[in-house]
Amino acid sequence: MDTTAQAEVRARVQEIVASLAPAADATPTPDAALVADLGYHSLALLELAFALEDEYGLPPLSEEVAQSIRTVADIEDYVVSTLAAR
Amino acid sequence: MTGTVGVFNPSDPTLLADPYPTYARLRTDAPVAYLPENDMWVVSRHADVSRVLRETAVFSSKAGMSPDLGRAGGGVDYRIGAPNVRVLIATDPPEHQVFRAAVAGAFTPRAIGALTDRVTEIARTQVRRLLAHNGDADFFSHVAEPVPVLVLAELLGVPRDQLGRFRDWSNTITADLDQTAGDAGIGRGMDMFRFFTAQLRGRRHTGRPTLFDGIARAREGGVSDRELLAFCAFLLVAGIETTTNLMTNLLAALWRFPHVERALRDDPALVPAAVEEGLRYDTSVQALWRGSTQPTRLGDVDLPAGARILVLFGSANRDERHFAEPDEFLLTRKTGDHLGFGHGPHFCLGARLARLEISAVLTELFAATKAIEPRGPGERTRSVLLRGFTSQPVSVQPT
Repeated sequence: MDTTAQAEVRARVQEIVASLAPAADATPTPDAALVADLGYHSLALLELAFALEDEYGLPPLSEEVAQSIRTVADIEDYVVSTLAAR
Repeated sequence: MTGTVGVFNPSDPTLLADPYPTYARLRTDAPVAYLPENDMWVVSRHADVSRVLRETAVFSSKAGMSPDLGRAGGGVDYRIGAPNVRVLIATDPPEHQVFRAAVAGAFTPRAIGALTDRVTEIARTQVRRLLAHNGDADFFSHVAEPVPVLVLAELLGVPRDQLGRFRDWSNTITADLDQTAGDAGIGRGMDMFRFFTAQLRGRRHTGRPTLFDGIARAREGGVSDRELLAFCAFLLVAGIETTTNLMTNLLAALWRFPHVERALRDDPALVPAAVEEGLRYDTSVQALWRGSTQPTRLGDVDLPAGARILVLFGSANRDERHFAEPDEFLLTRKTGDHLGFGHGPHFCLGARLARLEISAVLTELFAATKAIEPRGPGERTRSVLLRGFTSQPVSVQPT
């Protein structure tokens, strides 16, 4: 994936993360923490996983990966690397 | 009278080992005791506990449930920890009835009756496993812990090849989910919620109806998708650890009263009476939360609005004002009004199922053994609210 395509993916992922964030005034900068900054909880994270899987045709986000995700950048990285690997 | 500080110290290990002497002191000296460190009230007499549980307009369940005592000034959240996600146990009438009606069909006498053979089979299989492990057998891990998991899996139609995962999920959910886990924890339970989502959307593994059908129908009553998932997770919390704890507490009670065990072995028809008295004598849900919606008077104490109240079912069940010889285990007792399953609108939905499971386990255990004895001390749960054992090594003499 070239840099432009990557940047597009990252921007779109940020949009999706923001649209599903429980915190009303959420600003999904890359280093924003899902829980502390964006108000995410386990059910919202599940909805985010479904949305990303639908958007990009990704395989189900594993519980192991889900537990390692802390920030918006972690999610961007996951989507970018999963797309790059296919 | 307001309570004395120190009469109920939640972090005192002797309280966890045996809370009943403390309860007795509370009932006598401070039946509605204020704990300033925790900013909460503790209610210990049968009459007061019953009133709190009945008067849902004054004593709300919306304060939620929590396995610990929370913080002074803080709320007690249900452990899913998602704001605006209602859970059955933390709702008040009239919306409580919407949630309850959605799943009540699965717990009618007829529905539970239909499960009898399967529950018996599960209990028999696990008792056999216990016998097969004689030497390193553990009543908790071979019988009390798996039986409720397998029964709930049956109710939910979990396919056999996913039983292992289902057991892992129940362990995850009975530990904390995200509420106390901070940033690290919100991915925990994702596989479980995925499975529940698929089931609620009708992707059945079996052709027959399951509890998920009833839960999914609650959408028509205004229950959101998130709430449906939270409810599924709550079923694991409500239906597994509580029943496991009851089984381990009852076995420990029988060791304390050997003449009761002998009576049961002589006449298995007495087993249901023993289960009921066990629920009174050492129940698994020792206490739950309520919050006052308005200033009110309870016993001799004036409570403000917004008071955090811990109602002690375990103490109410030993109240000498209500039960004769409360510290004895009597098979002849008429214990229709013990609070082992609570009281009022929130009375345990799964009471009938729990009774069936515990009766089946005791019956199968007595049929397969001449004796069952402790092979060392059991380990108690470390919670003021949820009382049981997390291990109980045993040795058995097969028949």
